[in-house]
Amino acid sequence: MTQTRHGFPSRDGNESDQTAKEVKFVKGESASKSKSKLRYDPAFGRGAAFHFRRDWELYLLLFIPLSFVLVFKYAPMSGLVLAFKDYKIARGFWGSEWVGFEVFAEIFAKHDFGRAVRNTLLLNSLDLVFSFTIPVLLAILLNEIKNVKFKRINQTLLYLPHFLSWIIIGAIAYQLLSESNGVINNLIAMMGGTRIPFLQEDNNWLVSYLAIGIWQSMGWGTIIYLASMSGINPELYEAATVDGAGRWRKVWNVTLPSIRATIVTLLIMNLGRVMEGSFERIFALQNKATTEFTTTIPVLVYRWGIESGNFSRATALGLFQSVIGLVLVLLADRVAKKLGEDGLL
Amino acid sequence: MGKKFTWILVSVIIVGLLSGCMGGSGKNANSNTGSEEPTPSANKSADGKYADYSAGFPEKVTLELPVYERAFEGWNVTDNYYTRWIQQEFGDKHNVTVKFIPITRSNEVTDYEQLLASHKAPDIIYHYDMPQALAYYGEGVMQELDLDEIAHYAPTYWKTMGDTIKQYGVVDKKNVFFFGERPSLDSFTTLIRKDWVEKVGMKMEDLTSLEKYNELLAKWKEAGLGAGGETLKKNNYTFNYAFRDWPIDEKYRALYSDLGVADLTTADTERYLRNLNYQYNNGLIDKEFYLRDDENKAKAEFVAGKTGTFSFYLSSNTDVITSALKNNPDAEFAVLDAQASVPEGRKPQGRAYWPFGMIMGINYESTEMERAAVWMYLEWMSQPENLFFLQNGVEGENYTLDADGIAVKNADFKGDSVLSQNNNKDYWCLVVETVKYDDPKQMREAYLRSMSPPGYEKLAQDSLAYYDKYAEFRTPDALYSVVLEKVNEYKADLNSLFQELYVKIAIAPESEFDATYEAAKKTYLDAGYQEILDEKQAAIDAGNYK
Repeated sequence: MTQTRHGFPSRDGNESDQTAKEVKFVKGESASKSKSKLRYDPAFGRGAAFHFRRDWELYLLLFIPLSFVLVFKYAPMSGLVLAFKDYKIARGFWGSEWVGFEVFAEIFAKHDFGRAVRNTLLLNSLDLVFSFTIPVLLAILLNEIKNVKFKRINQTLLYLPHFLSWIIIGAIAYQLLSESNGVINNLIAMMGGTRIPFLQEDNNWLVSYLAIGIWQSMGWGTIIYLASMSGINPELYEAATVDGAGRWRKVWNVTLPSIRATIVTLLIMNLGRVMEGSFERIFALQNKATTEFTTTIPVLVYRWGIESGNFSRATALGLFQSVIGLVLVLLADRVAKKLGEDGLL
Repeated sequence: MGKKFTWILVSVIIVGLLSGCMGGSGKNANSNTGSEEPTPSANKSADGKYADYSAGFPEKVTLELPVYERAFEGWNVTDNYYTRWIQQEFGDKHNVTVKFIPITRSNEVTDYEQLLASHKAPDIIYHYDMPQALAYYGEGVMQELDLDEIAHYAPTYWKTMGDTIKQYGVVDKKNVFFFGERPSLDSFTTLIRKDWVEKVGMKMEDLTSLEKYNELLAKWKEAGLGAGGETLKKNNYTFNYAFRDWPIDEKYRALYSDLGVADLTTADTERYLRNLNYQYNNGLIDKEFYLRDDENKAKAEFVAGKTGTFSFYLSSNTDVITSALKNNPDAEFAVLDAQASVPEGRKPQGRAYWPFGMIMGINYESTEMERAAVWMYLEWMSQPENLFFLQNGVEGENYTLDADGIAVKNADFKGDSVLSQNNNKDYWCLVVETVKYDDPKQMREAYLRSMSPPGYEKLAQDSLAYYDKYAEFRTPDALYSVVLEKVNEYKADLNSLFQELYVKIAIAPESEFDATYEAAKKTYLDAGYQEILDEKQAAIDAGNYK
């Protein structure tokens, strides 16, 4: 029996019974602890070795995602000590001198720091207002389309920009929008209008930046909402129809409340990114005439860490950014719970 | 239930990972651990100080060399006819694996920093500009050199460069740098559309000052021809030489003239910006010059016939002339006299190169054998026949020798041994900056050919003639013999800030020029430039510069 692979059907009737039982117990455990205590559990009170021998395939499967998270999410965190050191490449990771919070003090005194924090918050808050709400609207619109083929085509077209690199989007943006050569401006000029500096004036740049961001991400953003909408019980809509609700009513009173939990979850996760933002997006869309909004935290991390080779400073800035992000997520989670939502944690 | 076990698993993995990540540097692990001590099998040289490797290293040595990746079409910098030839001729004969590490030309510091941080940097750390080379040294990634060792392993190279190395290679009283040779020749050229000049009733000889040049640009604009070419000034700041006072004041130059940090606050720069602002507001130059942030973008404008001037390093295989002719079959080209960008009454000053080309240091992680391999490689490349082959290719295929003993390039050659677009310079720049012949006359002639596009030899001649004519007005930046900490600290920030501020000043309405410039000066000084000036002043007062 020990040689029978756990969970796989076996020719021996007795053994397969035994195995099936065990499967049940395992399932029971994960579903609810109190339940499993009531049942007879042959594994109760045995040591780690027993569990490993019995379920080693499952542990092996668990090992893959676990090691992924550890290698790529936790192990790099050890590098955070750089923020508290005067890191010199030649002296190495441990050989560099500890300096406490000196690096942070330096950063906060930097000319660009205040501006970077302001811009990061500004760009990402605006993104949150527009790039976050528009996918919800779009998902509702897509959900209302009854012709499956038309809906599929639209969805595919909307997803596509998500797969383009920002560098390519940036190049396309300048080809289309630049003042003296851009296709759109050439059209405007041909029709007798005056050329508009879409990307070459600070405020216009901000609008273009947001619009391009919305275009790039809105389709992809609808996926989770659409999934959540497909789970809405059709009886709710039927009942609403019986009650005489029109399309707007149904959207307002059935669809939206049903996906509220999803919206809140995504909102909390997005709040955590208010201090981050994409480096490539700025890098690809910026130019030197509109620099008012283009100095952000990721840009500084790149300039200090990669261009100047000051890894300590870049790490400290990154850590600062992450800590604020974490605080925001926790706060938002608290607020959501206060408002009667489930929250994240 | 399984929790305890999961935790055990987790901790085992974490410990394993951390030890994997932190455990020493990977670089030496693979190639030659423990080779710091001379191996017993290596024979000592006559004086017993340096091992004799002339018959090859006793064990396989991996020599990692940097090579600029300039994104030439169809050219693989790390594996081509010449890298294989180097492996065969140098590597195999000395038991060395020659490995080329590509360094993006336009992003070289970034690339080096990343390679250094991951312990994968090549054995040679190089840069064309001294402040950055000093910055590398300041990071502690270059080892101190033993000059006798260089002389021992690379006598030919030492004979050419020894004096320069002794004079300029010293920092903080330590020998750190070694150099490539730089003969006094330069191919930087500004092309101008001669047909446009003549179309508006002017002659090339009329362009004797900035005022005249601006007049020409205004006429171009009126005639609807196009604008003057202009690019975003970044990374290398040589823009205000034409606006400087002559003769120069040594200490003033030492304080303000710096290739890597722009002197936004000086009167020279103010004059430059005032002119740029005038040109911009009157539509004399490319309106979107700040979008032309690399050479190709400026070239595209010139080729498309939107701008009438273009500055670049002229070379025999440039495609700018043929491309421009495709769009405008009537186009004619001439070299713009440097005098045409100089205001009335000033001199056509320029930045002189230091008397050396590439500035190099040895990676702090390189072993004794790898270092010896570097010297032997330099020595090997300094041999005229090897250098000549690298610079010219295969006789009868890439070139034929003419009566003067100069290689005549076969421009249409497309075979295996085709040279890179800049004639393989990124391989031989370690020892010399230009094509090399023993006879100076021959050398000049050969250099001229290397910068002459077929049918446009006159352009190269004119360019070099102007270069000679204005030789007396070229001055090099001061060389500091101490590490300037503040320069390293603020350089990247100021580089970015300068671009932002100068564009803002340049595109401001003329009436707002003064206010914008004053505000920019203050921002720039506060952002660290004042600290740099203070530090440099202290170094100057202490006499730590040449």
